[in-house]
Amino acid sequence: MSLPDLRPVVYLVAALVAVAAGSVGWDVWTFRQQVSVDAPRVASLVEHVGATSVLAVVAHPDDEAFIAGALADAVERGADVRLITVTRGDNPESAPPYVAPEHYGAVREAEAYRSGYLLGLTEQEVWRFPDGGVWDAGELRAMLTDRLDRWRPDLLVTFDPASGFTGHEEHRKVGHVASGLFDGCTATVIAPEGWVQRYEFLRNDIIDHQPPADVVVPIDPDAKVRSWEAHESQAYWHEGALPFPLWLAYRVWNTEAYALSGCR
Amino acid sequence: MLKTLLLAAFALATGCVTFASGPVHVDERVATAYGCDAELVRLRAVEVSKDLGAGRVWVPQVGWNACNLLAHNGTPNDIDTQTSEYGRSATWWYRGYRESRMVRLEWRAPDWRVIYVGW
Repeated sequence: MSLPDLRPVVYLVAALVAVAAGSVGWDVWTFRQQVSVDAPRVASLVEHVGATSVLAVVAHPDDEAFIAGALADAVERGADVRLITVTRGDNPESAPPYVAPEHYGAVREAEAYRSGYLLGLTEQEVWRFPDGGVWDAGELRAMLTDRLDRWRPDLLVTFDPASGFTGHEEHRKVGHVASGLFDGCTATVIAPEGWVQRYEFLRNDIIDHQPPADVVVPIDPDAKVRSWEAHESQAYWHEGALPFPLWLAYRVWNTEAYALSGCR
Repeated sequence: MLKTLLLAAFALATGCVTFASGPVHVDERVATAYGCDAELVRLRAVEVSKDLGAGRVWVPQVGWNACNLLAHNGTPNDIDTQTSEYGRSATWWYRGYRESRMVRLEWRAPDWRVIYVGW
């Protein structure tokens, strides 16, 4: 008795594997185009501007993940790196169903500290301006001025006041207040145009407002992924804003772009 | 003999080892800094260790005070403290086999209270 001819099955399987691989490869190539930013590439943000003391100011726990590549690099190069997160991110509208609203602030605050610990930050603070509420601008300015006086950073990293990276109003507000108070070297993180256009919820006409990037810096994908993964309660966000799992997405999107002002 | 050594090495490498339980280590400076009497905490640590199976650790609970946390889980490997306009808080890190576990505490007069456990 002769064996059945399995060649058609083998050819079919090989064809399916080839189609799947081609499809993933196409998606990777497309995403890479979407997240690429046209600006000079430098090895390191802190090295480029000659900074040894960095202060990052963001609005919510997990926002630091947008700049985690630059922060991790600064830590790696021996800079003092501090982070202020202006709110606890406790807006109940963003709470996953398994966190009770009254505990949501404590959960997100802890996630911010976990992320900071994993990044190796020198110091960090999570403030309690209401997420999604009205801020006392005078109080915010006073607190930021106090930290700027105390820590004397030579580089401020924050959101672009016009775009806020994702268009989020509180990102823009933080960028506006922080960069307005600091007259030294400021780097604002710039969103890739293709990424913003890919996702409906990100558009918010931010691309028309944000300045062009001055530099693109390479990132350590593992540091970026660790920072995102620290924010377990926000997993839904990056699942909705990236076409691939984190480990792959940040191997493809392996840069951060910044606009610089006041830097030498 | 070789077989025993290989088995021991395998057990160590895979973490399949149970250690005899005993009271956790309580550092006097940490106890004092968090408003605890180190000797009382050590006595409590001996008590709670009797209720624990070999190789097991307590999972801290939200609402515990720092002294109770010390008695159950011992001195953490790292402590980060934060002082701001909102009061004082601290993060205690316990390094495990694969990951660091975190406990967040806040000063809520008259003592430090656990407000979050990432275990």
